[in-house]
Amino acid sequence: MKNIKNRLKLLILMNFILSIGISQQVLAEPMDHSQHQGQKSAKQAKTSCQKIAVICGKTVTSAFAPNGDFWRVWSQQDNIYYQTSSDNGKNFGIAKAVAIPKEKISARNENRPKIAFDSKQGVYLSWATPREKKYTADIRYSYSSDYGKTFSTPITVNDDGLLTGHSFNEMVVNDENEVSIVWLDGRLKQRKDANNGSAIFIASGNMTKTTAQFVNQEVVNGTCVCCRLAVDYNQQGKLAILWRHIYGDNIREFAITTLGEQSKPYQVSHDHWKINGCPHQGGALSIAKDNRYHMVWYNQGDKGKGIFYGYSDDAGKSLSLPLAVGKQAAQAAHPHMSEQNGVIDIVWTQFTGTEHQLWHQQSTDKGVTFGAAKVLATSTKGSDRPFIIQGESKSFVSWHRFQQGHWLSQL
Amino acid sequence: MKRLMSVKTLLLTSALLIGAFFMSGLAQSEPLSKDSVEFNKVRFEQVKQEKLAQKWLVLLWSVDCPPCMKELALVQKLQQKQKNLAVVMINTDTEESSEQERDDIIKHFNLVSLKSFHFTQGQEAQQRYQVDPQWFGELPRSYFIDEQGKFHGKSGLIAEELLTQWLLTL
Repeated sequence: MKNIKNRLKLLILMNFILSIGISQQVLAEPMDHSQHQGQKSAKQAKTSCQKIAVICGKTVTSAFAPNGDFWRVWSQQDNIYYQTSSDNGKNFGIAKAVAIPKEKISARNENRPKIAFDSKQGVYLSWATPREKKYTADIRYSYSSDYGKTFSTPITVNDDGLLTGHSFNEMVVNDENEVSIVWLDGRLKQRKDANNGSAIFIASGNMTKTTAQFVNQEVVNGTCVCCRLAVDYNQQGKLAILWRHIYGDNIREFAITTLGEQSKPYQVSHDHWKINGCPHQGGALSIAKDNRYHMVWYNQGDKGKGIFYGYSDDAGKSLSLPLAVGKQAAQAAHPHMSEQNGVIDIVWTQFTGTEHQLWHQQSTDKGVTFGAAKVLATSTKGSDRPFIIQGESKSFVSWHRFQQGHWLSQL
Repeated sequence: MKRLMSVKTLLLTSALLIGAFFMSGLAQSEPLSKDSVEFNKVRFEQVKQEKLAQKWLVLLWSVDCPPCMKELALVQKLQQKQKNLAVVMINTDTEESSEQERDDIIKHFNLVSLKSFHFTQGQEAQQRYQVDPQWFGELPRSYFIDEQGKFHGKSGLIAEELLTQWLLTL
């Protein structure tokens, strides 16, 4: 009996020692430990972002409507959702799905839905929808004449009927309610001047008129395939487009053209970034009332690395001495800028290794000098591209952080 | 007797439990059962240690990057010439919608036998930084690691000759 008791004690002791040994072994293997944590966090991320909310959107696009309402738009589960705020982003109404049939919406990196307004009750949406073959998509468009209550059946804007790339759409509406959509288009890929790149196409329409809508026109061929375009109207009402072009043997530099004013684009940057790849970083353009073109861009060339700001008084033909913005060593990237009443705001992100930082720098003398750079906000999880959104007389920064939320702040 | 039975039961249960513990331990230490495993710093360090004193390549790629497909095709071509190519792939996509695409691409290029990592949602920048604080995320991104363990980063599609020279040992 005593023997059995002793064996029992010994067994319990052995079990105890073994279990400690095993648990220590598990703890001593950070790889497995972290694997579990990583999987758990990934699972948590997935499950916690099933709800319909801007916090679960990967990208957010926003704009002020003429009545002062702030709109933000994102994509989830093959729908486009929007929310509006009448107090500059402090409070928002409920998230509503745009009342159109579900379809896939491209919303990653530089590629995302766009929203614009006209002076009446018009709300304009455009986006890219991926097609069945890899790297193919169509540019889609829907319009609301009743401030978002109803939306038109979406149409495909690209008129080539080809299963090829059509994406990175930008959209603007002018004072005459003419909507213009520009995008990167793969239909000319076989042409000699494509340089393995895309082309820019433009199509315009006017919902208040019965003229032909969205006739596609080529703007330029041989552009980078994965960087967003930047557009703005100049003081003559002409549309200017800034993009990353491919020069020579994969030298990726920014170029600009003003439609109807020039036959050949101007090269803006001269940083000599040679890369047969995807920088995923477009520029920003804002044209002032004095017709000064303000621009920011990003390059990693052997003649220029980082973010640069420059202005031009002749539509990009000549440029001010580019000003380096942000800290290259701190991964300064994704710049955006906007000009309003002589004030130029530039925002960009930096990364410390653990934290994303949103930085801001301002000029009050039309871009001649800039004040000190300041951190506006931070994020530990993720960082979407920041954008400056123009209100009626004020500029705001819009920054979305996946699972942390969308943030709007007056500059 | 009853006590003895319970001791036997206990012994058997213990053996089964211990067995199950070790079995589960083995299963956990076999992360390559899928085409790709989540990237983390510890795992990356482990790979670096494993590859010490040899020339190898890290290729970072995304499903959204057409030139990345060209580089994967080049790796496939070299893999056909020489098995056990010293290449570690890291996919930078973290969207749920990209998971299937990522696995399909790895299979499409017959690169399942190579070690493959992928980034974690919400940790993309941190992991990019862990790979290289000087890298901004442009793709494809290739690191040529020499016998001394030194990383030489290059952005954009790599020329076939360079890859061949670096990777083929025969």
